[in-house]
Amino acid sequence: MLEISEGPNGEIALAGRFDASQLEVAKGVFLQLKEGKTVDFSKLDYISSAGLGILLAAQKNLGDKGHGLRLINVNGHIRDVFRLSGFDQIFDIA
Amino acid sequence: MTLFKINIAGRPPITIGPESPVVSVGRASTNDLTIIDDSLSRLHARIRLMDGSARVEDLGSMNGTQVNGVRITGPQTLKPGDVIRFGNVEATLSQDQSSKVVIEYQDSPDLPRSTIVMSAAMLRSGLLGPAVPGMDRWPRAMSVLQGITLGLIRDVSAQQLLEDLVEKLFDFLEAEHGVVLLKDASGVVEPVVVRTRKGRASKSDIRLSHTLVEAALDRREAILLRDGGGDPALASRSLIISGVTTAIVTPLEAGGEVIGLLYFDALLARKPFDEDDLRLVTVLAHVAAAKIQNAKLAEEVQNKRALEQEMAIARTIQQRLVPHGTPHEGSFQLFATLRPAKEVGGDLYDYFWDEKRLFFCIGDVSGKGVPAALVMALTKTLFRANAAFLDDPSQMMAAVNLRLYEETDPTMFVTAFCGFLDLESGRLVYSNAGHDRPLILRPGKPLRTLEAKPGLALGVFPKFNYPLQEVLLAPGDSLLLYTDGVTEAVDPAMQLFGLTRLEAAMDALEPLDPEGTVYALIDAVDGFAKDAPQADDITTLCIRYLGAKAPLKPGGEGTTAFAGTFDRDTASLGDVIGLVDGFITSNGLGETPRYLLEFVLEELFTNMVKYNRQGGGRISVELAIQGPELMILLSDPDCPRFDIRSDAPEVDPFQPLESRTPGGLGIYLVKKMVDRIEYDHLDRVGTIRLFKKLE
Repeated sequence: MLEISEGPNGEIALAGRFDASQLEVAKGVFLQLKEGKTVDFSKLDYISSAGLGILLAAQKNLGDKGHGLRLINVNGHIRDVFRLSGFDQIFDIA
Repeated sequence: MTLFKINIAGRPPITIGPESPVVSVGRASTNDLTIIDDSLSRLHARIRLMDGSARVEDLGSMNGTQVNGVRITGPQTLKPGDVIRFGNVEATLSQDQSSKVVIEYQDSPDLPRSTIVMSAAMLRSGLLGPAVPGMDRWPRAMSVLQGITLGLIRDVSAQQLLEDLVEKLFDFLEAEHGVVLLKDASGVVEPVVVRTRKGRASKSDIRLSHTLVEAALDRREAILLRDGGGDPALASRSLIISGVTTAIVTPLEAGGEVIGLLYFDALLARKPFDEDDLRLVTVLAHVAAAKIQNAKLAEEVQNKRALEQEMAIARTIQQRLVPHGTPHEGSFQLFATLRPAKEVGGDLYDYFWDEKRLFFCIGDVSGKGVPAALVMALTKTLFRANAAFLDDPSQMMAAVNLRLYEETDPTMFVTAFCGFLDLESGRLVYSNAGHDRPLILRPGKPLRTLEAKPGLALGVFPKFNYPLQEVLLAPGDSLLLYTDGVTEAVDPAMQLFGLTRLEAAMDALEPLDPEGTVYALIDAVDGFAKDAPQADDITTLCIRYLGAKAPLKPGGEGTTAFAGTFDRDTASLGDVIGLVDGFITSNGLGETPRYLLEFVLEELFTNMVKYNRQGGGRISVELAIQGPELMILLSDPDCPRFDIRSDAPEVDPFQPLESRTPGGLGIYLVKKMVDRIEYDHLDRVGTIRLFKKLE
């Protein structure tokens, strides 16, 4: 299950598993974004390439890096995935 | 003989008597009187026969036992009509009384002049005094009467008494023929004793006057025919068979029914029978009828009691045929109950285990009662015998099937489900023979029905390939098996409990141990059925897999491999991840390998499904620790060649955002994450193995 909620400072908070079974839920949020957002990964356990695909599409929609997604509290395993895929270079990871 | 009955609405009464002097009452199926109701304790109360009275005693139940509204504090003697309350369930006590024999005679004067009809009143008054003073045969008549009457109270069979009676009367009357006719179960009169001058004879040796016989049976009259040959009215009615001039016919009456008759006749050469002869024969008919009636009643009572006793024994034997208890072996828990609709039933279950595996089976023999119980015992034994040397459930089904086919009635069949649960991996291999598919309860997840091919009921067809399937149970998963007595339980309006109610009840259930799960199901069924009688045997078996007993260090000896096969559907991903859970837990692995396994399996499994939807068969997955490495295997039994090492698109991790696409990213990451990959493709079977050194 993937839970998507709004954090105390307006950020998008993700919890659970961001995988192929959760695409529709995630698309509804990330592909509707009109401006850059902070995404809190602190409660996210897992992301698959399908999850990465959504984040990539959102980032592309939002244009250049300055107005894109800012990812915070990314855990070690997920950070590895971002690093291996080179996604750490197209997202602002705090 | 004192017999008490405990009566509960909607159930057959339970007898307390010399054959069953103690009746235990409670919610557990081990009681003589099992009442599935929350208000009762497992072992609630006991009623026993003491000095001809029934005494009830509460066995420390939670909600107590009441007699006529007063909670009892010690053993209490009951009297018929008392209302006993076990928790919220009300019962009444009644006493059995045997019925009395009633003999009735009716007068009917409407006969030819030459006949005499006697009433019971006439016979009594005639015999109490010397009806015919000075009659020289009277002392002999009295001795006949005395001898026969003694037979009534002595331990002489009804048949023996009738034979003695005919023999004595035959001599006394100097008759030509003497016959006792009795009605059989279908109401047809059949000779049971036949005496002729030539000695005893078969029924072909004598021709009875059916007109006389029918007159006696229909009008219930004792008839004396003095001189049939001289009576034109009778002669014209073909009453008389050749040479016979005098006859006595008297009905045997018992319980208000004509149960047969006595018939004697003599030839012309002899003087006609007289009224005293008729008196004697009729009085003896009373005696004989009473004896027959008593013998019949005694036989019925005895048969019924013997049957009840035998059925009670059969029930005990059957309950002992199946294992009981709540095994808790570290790696699994189990609980099962079998509740027959009658004393014995055709449901079965069995289980046994060693360190490595648990065998279990459940089955339902067609039909109910004793015939089904016999096949039940056979089936259970066949499973047990085959499980000793076979470890393939489909082969076991085939073996049991063949023996059942050969050894039982062609109309008998058995639906069954059996399986072996590997206690280390949670891998369940199973085979179905026309049985209801088991349910899988996983904490926090919706209820699932185990995917099981229907198979064919056992004993129907000698050669059948029973399906072999497997699934991986995750620690915490419960497998719930049941027989159709659950789904086919009916409420008072004859509605079926059904699969929908079963699933709803189980889906709403908090995770419980197997005993709790089984009783939750039975409570749901009983709550639905209310006071409607149980239509079919109800059997439930629940196994909870707890995971391997002792997780071992990675790379060490005896690490646990996990394997499973999965539907070619992305919806199977949850099950694939369940396999990872079990593997990680069993082997004491940490979060890093977990992430790796989940990621690799999700990406590759999704790819296999996505790019080969038309492929046949299930995708198998294996996880193992081989030396210092973690090994992940995925195998597609029907796919074109696709080696991710060479055939997957390259992904440049350093390209700018604008030119990036998500395509190929998953496979690219998998290749980056593992140390090495092996692939082979043979006869459309594609197998990929991925290795990663454990840290």
